[in-house]
Amino acid sequence: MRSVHRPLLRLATVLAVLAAACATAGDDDAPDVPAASTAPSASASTSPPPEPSATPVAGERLPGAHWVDSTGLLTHAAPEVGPPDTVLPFVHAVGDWLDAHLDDLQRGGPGRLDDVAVDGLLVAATDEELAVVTSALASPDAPVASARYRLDGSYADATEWLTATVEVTSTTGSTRAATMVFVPGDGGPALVLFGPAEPPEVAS
Amino acid sequence: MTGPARRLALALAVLQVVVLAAASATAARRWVAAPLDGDDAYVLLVLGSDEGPPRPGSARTGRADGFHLLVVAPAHDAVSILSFPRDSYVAVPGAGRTKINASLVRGPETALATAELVSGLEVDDWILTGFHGLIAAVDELGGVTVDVEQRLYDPVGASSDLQPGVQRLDGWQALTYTRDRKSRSDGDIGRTESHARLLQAGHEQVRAEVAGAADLMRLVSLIRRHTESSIPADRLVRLTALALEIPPAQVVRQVVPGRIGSAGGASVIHLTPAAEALFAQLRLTGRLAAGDAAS
Repeated sequence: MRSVHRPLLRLATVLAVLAAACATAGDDDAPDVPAASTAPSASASTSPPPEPSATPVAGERLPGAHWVDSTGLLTHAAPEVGPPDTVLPFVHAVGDWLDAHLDDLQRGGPGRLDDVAVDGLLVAATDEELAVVTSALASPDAPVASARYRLDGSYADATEWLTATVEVTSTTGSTRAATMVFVPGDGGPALVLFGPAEPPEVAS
Repeated sequence: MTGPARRLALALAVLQVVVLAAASATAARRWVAAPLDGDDAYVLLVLGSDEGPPRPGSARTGRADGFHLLVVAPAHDAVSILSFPRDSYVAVPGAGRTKINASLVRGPETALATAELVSGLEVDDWILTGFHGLIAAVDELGGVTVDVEQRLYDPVGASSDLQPGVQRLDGWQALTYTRDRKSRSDGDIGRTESHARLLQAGHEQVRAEVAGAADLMRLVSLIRRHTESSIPADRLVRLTALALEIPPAQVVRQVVPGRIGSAGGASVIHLTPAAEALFAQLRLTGRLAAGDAAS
């Protein structure tokens, strides 16, 4: 699919408005202590399990380069500009959910998939597949040192879908990534698809 | 080892193979997607318009020189593509009996109503592209590999001169492949079949190339960008994911049977009773038998 990727990059428009919003969100939500402080204490003389991190997760939100304007498609009249402000609430909602999901996982909770998954999605997954977007991303044994979310999507009048590629580096130094696809649901973002991702996919 | 013990050992060995095979199949999954809603077959009308860029008219109200029903079986394990020759002489709501490609002149909703009236199937959605959309989509896929059956030459349109054989077609060549009927010994029937061949080849190719969820969403974006459709975004994601799960061997295609005739001085194709048999089979089972497939 690299051949798909190249033309899309040609079309890519990094969203100034989204970038600004993301930067703002990052500033607002930035933890007061460096992320590295979430590492297990080195003074422990024995090797107990690491204490759960008390630092709330605040992922860095990277504007995606693959936004699609779904209006005026066959006329190709739509200008190649970034999405309108109407998508921002959805983008923020997904980012906030990801923060809460990772935070719950690193505190030993089950995560927040139940809050967003559409009917039939979770039952279609094996435990191993679910782990890709839960325990593999964060756990009390591997709390989040840093997280980055790259957000791409499609919009017409409002968001059609949002693809979040999530890269999490734990305090143990390991890096895991997953892709999660959200669509607008009755109560906010609804998760319709997920799977593993390669960390380079979120490299900006 | 006694007889019963041997049978038990054999059964356990078979069970182990099955479990391992299932486990490896699961491990190989590239993503997990929500299933399509409902337990019925899902039916999509795929339209190729002869208008839209570079022509001045709107693709939404051109003539549908591509008119195909894509049916996902109720078990979501197979796809059938039923292709109508554009000259199929059928009843079009609001227009009397005319060629099926004229149904799009009244908009894709009328084309959908026509498909339902002719086939008796409940059609869930329509999707439409034009020349420009086809060319751009194929180019963005990096071309599509097709076994071209014979020399095809379209001096007026895409100006491509295709020689027989397996080759990777770019967008303009794909347009020639799906548009040229004058070079074909079987005329519009062969051209109609070429649309389904290209769809099938594209399916097989992207299924092999899409490596993960992010790739899949790039494909969904490509589809969205070069088509118009009634498919909600949520369903498009689910449908694309499902399509990429279905093995190429489970994709069966068939041109609707008909015989050449005339109506009002125009050459048309009258659907034969064999066509109704195919419609009935799809209504009953949601799938065409592999034996029905066109070569």
